[in-house]
Amino acid sequence: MHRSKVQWKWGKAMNSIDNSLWVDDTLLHIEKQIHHSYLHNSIGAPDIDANRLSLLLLPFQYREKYSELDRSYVSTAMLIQTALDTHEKVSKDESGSLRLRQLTVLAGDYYSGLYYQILSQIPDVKLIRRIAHAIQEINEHKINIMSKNLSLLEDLLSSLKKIESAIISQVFIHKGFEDFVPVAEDMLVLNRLIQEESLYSSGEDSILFSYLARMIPSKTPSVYQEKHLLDLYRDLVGKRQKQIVQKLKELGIPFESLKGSLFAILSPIAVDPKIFVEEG
Amino acid sequence: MKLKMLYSFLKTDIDEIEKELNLAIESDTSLLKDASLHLLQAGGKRIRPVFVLLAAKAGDYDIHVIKNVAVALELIHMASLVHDDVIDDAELRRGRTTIKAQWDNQVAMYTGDYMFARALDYMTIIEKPAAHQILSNAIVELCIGEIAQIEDKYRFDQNLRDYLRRIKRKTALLIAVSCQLGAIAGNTPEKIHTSLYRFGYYVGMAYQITDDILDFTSSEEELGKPAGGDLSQGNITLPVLYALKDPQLNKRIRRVHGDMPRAEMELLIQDIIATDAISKSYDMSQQYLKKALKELDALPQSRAKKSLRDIALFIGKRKY
Repeated sequence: MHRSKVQWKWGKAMNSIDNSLWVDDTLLHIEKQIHHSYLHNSIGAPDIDANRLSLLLLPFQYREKYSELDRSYVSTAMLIQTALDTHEKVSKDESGSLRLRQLTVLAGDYYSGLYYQILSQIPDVKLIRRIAHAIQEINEHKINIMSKNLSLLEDLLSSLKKIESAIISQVFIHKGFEDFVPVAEDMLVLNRLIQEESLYSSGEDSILFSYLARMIPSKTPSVYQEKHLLDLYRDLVGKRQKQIVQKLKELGIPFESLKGSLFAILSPIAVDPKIFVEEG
Repeated sequence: MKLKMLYSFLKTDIDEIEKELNLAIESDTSLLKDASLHLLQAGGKRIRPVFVLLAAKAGDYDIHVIKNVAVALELIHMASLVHDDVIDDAELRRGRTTIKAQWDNQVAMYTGDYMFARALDYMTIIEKPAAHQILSNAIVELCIGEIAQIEDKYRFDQNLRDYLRRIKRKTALLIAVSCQLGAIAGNTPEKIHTSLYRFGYYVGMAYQITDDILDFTSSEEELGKPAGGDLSQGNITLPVLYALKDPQLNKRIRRVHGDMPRAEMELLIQDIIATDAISKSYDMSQQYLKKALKELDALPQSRAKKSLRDIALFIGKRKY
């Protein structure tokens, strides 16, 4: 069924609404929900991804309304994401402290349980189902990546997109913010590309750079390989940035209004102002 | 007598659940499917689905509805086993290599998360908010219980209350909610499903205490691991709590650590068995079973009620 696109209007009061208040309030709420003194004294409190949180709040900013119920939805999405991210930290091999590994597994399980508990108290069975589907999809893509089932870079990017955005997308769809899904997908995949670059620069394994490395012609002299690799990366990032700017424009969101950590997602490498002029 | 004989009249429905479990782990991602199937095919008692079905018999029993709860509960249990094997660094489960041993920790983590999500997917077919509140609270408590178990390792000053609270969260709650959710899905009145919750809770407590006794009294062959493994890993179970009351044993138990020589540990285990710690633990397990059987009085006479009673008695007598 064709669904007509809603033209999102930047609210009159939007410039005066301080999104950081909502971010802080929600962060505090999540920290309260997630707190477990023994767990956090032993393995540390989890990192709550502020970029992701800002992105989740974006459509609410547009609506200029963020109720307690909305905060529960946003917290839930952040909790389950934190659960999955925590499980990513479980080491593949048996090195490292056993106790740390044990508690990391349990912390992730605990945060997953909290997501279910919050939604069941609302109660919102439909969103429990939507998020459960997202978790299934995410883990299928994670396994596909780790078992090297994907042959093309495009397939890898598509899997990374699902892994990064499936949960936010489901919350947006559930709340009737479908129009924000494409921009959220691109922003989160961009965020992931940046993380991959920082893994690569610090000498750690990067799945993205291992795919990019395959695209370099074998005859390329080794001194140029690094440069070639980074050029490919920058090209990928630049394309994503342009796509995001275009999508923001379609939503009627002035780029200048994106402040703080959300903007940081868009400026991993110096953003060329021309991009915005060309697109805008 | 085998456990399965106690609910043989449910065979068709149990087979239906087994079929549904196979469908539940279907995935286009072959590695994910293989890993899930690896655990599923290792078998297991399927005691949670059995409790769901038997409890639902107290109300409007429709297997097409009830099976969703049964499958969800078994998948949650399986997901927790997959993650437990990462926690315990276990190589074998039900006589088969664990997922983490067959593949690696990462595959085990993804498979466990996938199974948990599949469980919730099945559970959402039941749209009753109370069912989800009960299950989600139990899951959170289960995690808190597992965290507490790690926190309490080698902590010899803990008391009976600490132990009971821990096994409640670790084992009894999921059995209790299996009974309660089966009854809720069968539309039973509150009085019935709370009685069934309590029945499951008491049976679960007795089950775990029995497990903790068997860890001392069974042979390595029966257990599939060295006897007294709980104590060597620092888990303070009920027999140990009773043994700690003996001043001589108290001193020796407090010296237990992860690298204690096997011979010294075996001697300590024999000395614990020689006290009244095992019989006192057994008495407590029997007290829980008595309470469980009393809860069944609220239910009308039926084959399902008889099965619940027989399963409770079986658990009290099991040898391994």
